[in-house]
Amino acid sequence: MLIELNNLGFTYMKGTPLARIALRNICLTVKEGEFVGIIGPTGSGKSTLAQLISGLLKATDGQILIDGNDIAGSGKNINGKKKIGMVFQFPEQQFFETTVFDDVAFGLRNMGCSEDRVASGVRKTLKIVGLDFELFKDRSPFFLSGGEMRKVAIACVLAMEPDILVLDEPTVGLDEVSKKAITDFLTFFHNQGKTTIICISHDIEEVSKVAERIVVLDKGELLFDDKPEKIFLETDKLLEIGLDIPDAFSLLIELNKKGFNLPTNVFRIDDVKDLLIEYFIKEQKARGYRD
Amino acid sequence: MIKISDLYYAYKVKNKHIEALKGIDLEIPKGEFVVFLGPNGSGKSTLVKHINGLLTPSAGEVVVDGINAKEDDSIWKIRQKVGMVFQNPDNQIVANVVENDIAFGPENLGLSSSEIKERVKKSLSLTKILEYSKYEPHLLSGGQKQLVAIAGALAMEPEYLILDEPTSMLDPLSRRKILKIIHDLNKNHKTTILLVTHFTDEAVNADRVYILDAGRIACYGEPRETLGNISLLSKFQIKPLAMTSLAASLVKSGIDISTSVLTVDEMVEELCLLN
Ligand SMILES: Nc1ncnc2c1ncn2[C@@H]1O[C@H](COP(=O)(O)OP(=O)(O)OP(=O)(O)O)[C@@H](O)[C@H]1O
Ligand SMILES: Nc1ncnc2c1ncn2[C@@H]1O[C@H](COP(=O)(O)OP(=O)(O)OP(=O)(O)O)[C@@H](O)[C@H]1O
Ligand SMILES: [Mg+2]
Ligand SMILES: [Mg+2]
Repeated sequence: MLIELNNLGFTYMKGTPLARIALRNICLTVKEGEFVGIIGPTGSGKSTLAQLISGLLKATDGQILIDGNDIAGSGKNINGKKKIGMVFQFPEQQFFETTVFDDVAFGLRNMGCSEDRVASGVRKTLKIVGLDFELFKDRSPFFLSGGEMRKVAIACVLAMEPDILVLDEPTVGLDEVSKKAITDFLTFFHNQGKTTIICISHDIEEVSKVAERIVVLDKGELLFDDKPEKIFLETDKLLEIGLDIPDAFSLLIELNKKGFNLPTNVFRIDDVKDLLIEYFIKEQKARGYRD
Repeated sequence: MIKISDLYYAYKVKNKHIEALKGIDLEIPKGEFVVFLGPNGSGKSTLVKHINGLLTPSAGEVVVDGINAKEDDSIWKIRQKVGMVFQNPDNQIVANVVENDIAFGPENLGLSSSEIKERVKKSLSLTKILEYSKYEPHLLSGGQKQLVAIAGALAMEPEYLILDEPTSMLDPLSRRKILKIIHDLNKNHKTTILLVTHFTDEAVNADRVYILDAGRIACYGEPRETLGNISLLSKFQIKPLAMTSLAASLVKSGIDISTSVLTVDEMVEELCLLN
């Protein structure tokens, strides 16, 4: 599904003295099957954008087209099919059933799956997010640890296999193994089909590993929209608005300040490692010849 | 000092018991900066909730400056000493206006209204949310709510400050600022800090790091002993710092540097020595 945002704007409580502009003039096209990361400082409008794309908020300016259709106010249903799934920034806001099983099953039942299919779907999805089916199926989603709650929230949405998957800071509060399991699955899910993924994160290193494109928001406006490696070239601007660059990339910059002459077109830790190994091995060889 | 001995805790849900803590022994001297790491569900939040009396032990003791949290009338005394920032800011917000929410703690301490005003203003400006002081907290963004929750705890100026993943939704710059604020409190006001986090980098300057696993303290030590030990971290699903794992790979490839490098600055230093 093609997503087009044309001069999209959103103002909370528009027309009242409390009006607050959250987004201004956003133009963005996300092609079917693309994986786009969204980053931006606290309060820059990321969650607002996610809710607009998911149809939970209605644009106050401009429009959102999905496959050419204006989705304004249509909720989550487009052409009668449930096709956009969103993982909320606060998982509790998503729960309404009394057991983990029923919450994850909700989307599947809605799609008209048989109870057998529902059960196997729930089992499969809980496994993906790293929750033991037997231990968690009868628990209340509201009485879990923070990370466990987020895993259930992610499972609820993944189970529906949406065409467009919107995730608002899905890895907040997850331990390293769970984080990796979920980002790996997103990559797999994305490579496998036509799913369009839009993922908000503060962890620029993490999103740049999985997203093909990164959109940077600042104060409600779109600041950059480019490939990860291009975004990192804007180091000064990123730091100025409160974002970070990966440590591996800062290391290259700091080393160059000390007289190393390393290329700065890589930012993944493994690439930096290879670069340093090559540098030092060459260096040692050169020294060897001299000695 | 916080003294926890043989602490057990089980949540009762329906007819089942979920054993969250299985024998915790812990002593935190006054003025220490300690960090709790550990996988999801390992018991971090459950443990710290015992320290300000939000939960009562199923067995064992929790004693803060000689006060046992178990005794009913002691809860009030403990809450005056121990401030807490909750993992989910929504669970902490009590008022309809940000500044009233932040005033709530100091009001409960029975401070004069001028003192309360003073503290609210100080907390708002420290956490950089002065511009939201008249807003409704539940109409803020996720990160903004988290800043309100932190400001509320700071305004109480507690002797012991517990922070349960306080920066999980903040942008990197705000995250650094909050870390600086709590390190300053620890240094200048001798505030004891108990920080729960999944960000390994937030533990680098702590006095002590505790790693929880399945309701027990699996190990503890100074940051370099714990964070610098990659195989230990991976056992407990904790992400090693980028520079520590880089150091390990470089050493493996025959580059002779220390393996317990934690920060970019330390890595630069090590590599410059080689050059
Ligand atoms: N329900 C609401 N009513 C009024 N204003 C709101 C509401 N939700 C958010 N805002 C305001 O809109 C702006 C954008 O908020 P949004 O939640 O989109 O930010 P965000 O980029 O997701 O931030 P964070 O990283 O902190 O979650 C903020 O200034 C916020 O205070
Ligand atoms: N309110 C609750 N009711 C029942 N069980 C709970 C409740 N809160 C937590 N638990 C359970 O207690 C155990 C410890 O949870 P706790 O919240 O202390 O973990 P945590 O280390 O803080 O994890 P996280 O990193 O996910 O926040 C988990 O098995 C969890 O399922
Ligand atoms: Mg948000
Ligand atoms: Mg917790």
